[in-house]
Amino acid sequence: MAHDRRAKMLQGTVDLLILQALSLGPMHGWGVSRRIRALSDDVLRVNQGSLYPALHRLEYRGLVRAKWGASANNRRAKVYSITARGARRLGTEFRDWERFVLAMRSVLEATEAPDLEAEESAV
Amino acid sequence: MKALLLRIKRLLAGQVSDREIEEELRFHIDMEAAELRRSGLDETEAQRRARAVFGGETRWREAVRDARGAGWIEDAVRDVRLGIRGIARAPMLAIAAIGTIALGVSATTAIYSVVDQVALSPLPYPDSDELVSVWLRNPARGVERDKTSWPNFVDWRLATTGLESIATFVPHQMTLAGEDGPELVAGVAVSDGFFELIGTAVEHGRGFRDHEVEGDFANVAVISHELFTRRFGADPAVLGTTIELDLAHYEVVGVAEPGLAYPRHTEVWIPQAFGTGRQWRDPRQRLWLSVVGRLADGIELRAAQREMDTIGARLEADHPAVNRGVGIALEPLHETVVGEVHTPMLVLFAAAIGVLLIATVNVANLLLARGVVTSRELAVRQALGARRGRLVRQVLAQTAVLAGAGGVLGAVLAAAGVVALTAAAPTDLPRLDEVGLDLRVLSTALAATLGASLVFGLVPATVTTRVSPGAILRGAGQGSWLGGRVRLRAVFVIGQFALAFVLLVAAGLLLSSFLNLRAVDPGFSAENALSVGLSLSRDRYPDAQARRAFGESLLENLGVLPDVAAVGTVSEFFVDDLRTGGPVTIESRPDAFEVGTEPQVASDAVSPGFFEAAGMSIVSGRGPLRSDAPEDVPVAVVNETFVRIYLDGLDPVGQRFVWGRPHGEASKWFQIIGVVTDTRRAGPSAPVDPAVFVSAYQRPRRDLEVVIRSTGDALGLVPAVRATIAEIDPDQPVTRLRTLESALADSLAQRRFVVWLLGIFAVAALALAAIGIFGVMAYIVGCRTREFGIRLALGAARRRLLAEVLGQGIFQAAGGLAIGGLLAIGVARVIRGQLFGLEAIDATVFGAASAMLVLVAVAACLVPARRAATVDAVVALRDG
Repeated sequence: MAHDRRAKMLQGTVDLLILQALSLGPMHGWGVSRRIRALSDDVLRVNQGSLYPALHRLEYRGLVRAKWGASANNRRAKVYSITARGARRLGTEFRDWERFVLAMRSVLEATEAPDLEAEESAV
Repeated sequence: MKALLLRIKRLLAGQVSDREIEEELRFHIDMEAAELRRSGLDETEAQRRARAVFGGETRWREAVRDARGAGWIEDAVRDVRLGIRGIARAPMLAIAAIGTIALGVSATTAIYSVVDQVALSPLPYPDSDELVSVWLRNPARGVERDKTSWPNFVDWRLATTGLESIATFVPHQMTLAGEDGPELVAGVAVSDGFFELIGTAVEHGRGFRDHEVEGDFANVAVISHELFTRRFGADPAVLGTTIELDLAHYEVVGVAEPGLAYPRHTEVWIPQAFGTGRQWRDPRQRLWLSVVGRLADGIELRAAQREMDTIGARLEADHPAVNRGVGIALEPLHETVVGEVHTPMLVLFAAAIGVLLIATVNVANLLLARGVVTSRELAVRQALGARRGRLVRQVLAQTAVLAGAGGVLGAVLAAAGVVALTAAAPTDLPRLDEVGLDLRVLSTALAATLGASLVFGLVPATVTTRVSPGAILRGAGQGSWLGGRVRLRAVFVIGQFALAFVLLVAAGLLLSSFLNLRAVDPGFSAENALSVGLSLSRDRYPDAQARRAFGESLLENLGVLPDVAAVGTVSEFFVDDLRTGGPVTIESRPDAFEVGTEPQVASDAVSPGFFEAAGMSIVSGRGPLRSDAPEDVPVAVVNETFVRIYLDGLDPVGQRFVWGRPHGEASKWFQIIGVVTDTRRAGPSAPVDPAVFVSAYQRPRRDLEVVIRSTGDALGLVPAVRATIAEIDPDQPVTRLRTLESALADSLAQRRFVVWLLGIFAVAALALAAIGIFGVMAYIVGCRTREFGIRLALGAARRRLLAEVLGQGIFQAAGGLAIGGLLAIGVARVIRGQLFGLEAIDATVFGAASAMLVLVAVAACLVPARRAATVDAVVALRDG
């Protein structure tokens, strides 16, 4: 169960990362993973096992679209680009993410416990 | 709408071929490998590391496919393929499951198709639920359904408001002359408004006009569509032409539409003539008309019956001499047509349902047994990382393959079963020609078995996937959750045995009844006797003289044929419930019965030699002879029942009686010259009525049945008999030709049919229950192999283990027996009316069924029990 929840959280994050990466320009799957790695200074590595299912899922949902084209070294490659819907979704996901980060930070940076007893007696 | 279109488009666009996924994967690995090479690795290592990042490629592919919702079709196909492979690994189990499903589905569907058509579905006439039969009843005489007289009918018709219309019909066989010789057709004479009442429409020409019906003889006829096609090439030119029926000429005025004939298979309708014919002293006493009515709109049968009761009471008051104790009974026409087969049909259907239930439980049982195997397989796969939903889906697919195969096979068998049933069924089963495979039932039966298999197929899938794989692999099938399933399966087995017991008892009761019936002495000798029906036409044989002459030459010419031991005629050998006759008055005991309570006496005319030909014994006196001349006192032979009821304590020979009540000088007294043994000509279960046999030589009748006793095989006489009759009168058709033996067997045909089917069901149920208990015991023994091994190693006696397993099986069977016994008592009460010569709770039948059940249970448990007793301790401890 615990494993499941973590995977799910990760999945949402992967989606966000992919959408962000594609918002910078169309790219094939390998390129997307490279781009995320580069942008995060090699900290975030999207597992290939999650990357492609995520790309296909996003495509199925209409957030990205895929087209067979030529790669830089002229090989046939499946190139993904973000759709208008995908861009909108990126916006909302990004705001959610910011809220999440903020919340995490305020918890993690807290130095003293909130006065719960005062609140309880107020109720 | 737009959203839906979008979804569909995406679904179609979403279908990514495996090749594309493969290509994308290849591209990624190549790019990764190239990158790794740049960082200094050699080619092979780069490739290896590039691949490694994907983990299992197969799993990756599946994940990609799963990501696209549209992959489910491919998944389903793959699951089914896997399912078939899984099933092929356990073929015996698969065959058992498929066979069980097929058996359950086909038996129920085939039987229900017949039962529904014969006994349940409405008659094919418009608003057929409004149609009723109108009977005369006389409870004091034990007559519930009798025909009526013309004056009675006219009174009913005038008085009733509950019936919007009412009409008479008199079916009789008619001889239709033709270039290819005479042909017998099913004719019916009808009163005014009969067509409109039934709803029979005329497709060519017209029906009868008012002045044509119920008056003097009007020579017009309406023919059936079938006859129209068969005899007249469907040429409407037949309208207005003349056909010869019973040597009278009729103008064809109409052709009826197909399908709405009543009585069914009527080929010719003629108007009922009431103006001509023999004048009866009191026409009100001549009960010869069958009557149908149609309930007025919004009138319930019960309300109409109340009105009829009032009308009956008034007629009783108006005509006390003839209508004493006489009432009127309405009966839904459906009941008249379907009649007494209703209960047997429903018993059969209930039996089929029982078999279906047992079959379904067995499938569940088998699938649960499968679950033991499958659960380990599933646990392994789950441990290797397969997702739970996927596993459940796969088990479902396997079950669906089993159920689907069984269902298809069942449907095919059901179709074949309906054909076989209609072929095997006695021809007098009403409405059999309407029977077809009932698709609604087929789908219901399919749904029931498939649904049950899916539910029980899912049990292993859900339970297994919920439990941690490690536990199952470690416990190897002995976890506590399996214990629960053992209990569930034991309950199943008990239920199966209970149902099987009920079926065994029902089959046993009906079988004993059937045997009892067959053992009943009919009072005549059916062996080596042939019977030939003849119906002398009114025109060719207008009077007694002509008919007597025909009878004389018939007996003379047939009597001299080689191998003929005896020959005689009777008006009708096998009689049904609605027979002619009436009450009699004995001269020396005129006041033995109150008016209206005299028992009905059946009346037949027999020729000299008939009793010898039929093998009936004359108890005292003699039979009719040629020397009893037409002008002499009419003589009569009576049966033993007549003597008991009317002549108790008197010497029968020499007594005189009169039909009805004596009326002075005009009374026609009959002299009793002999007594014969009782015969059961209405079937072995019918009560024996008092009967009078008058002399056919003195009073020759129009309808006669010639009985010819052969010294050898009766059928060998057929050609000679036919030739002899044709010699006497080439235009005389033979209405019926059969051996008395076959006629006697026919009277039991319906019972034989029901007994056979029920017997098959009972055996099938028992076999299924045996499979069920075998499966459970084998499973339990399998689970306890290790335990048995340890006990054997510690010195337990093998015999003890054997007894323990057997005991467990017998315990389950006994549980089924106890519950089944209670159910069987209830069922036996329900079918009591079908039994003959034994009580509903028959000790022999119940005892035999119990013994059979226990025996089968022991036999089924013997193999698993032996396996338990022969466990090799070493092997069990090593592998268990």
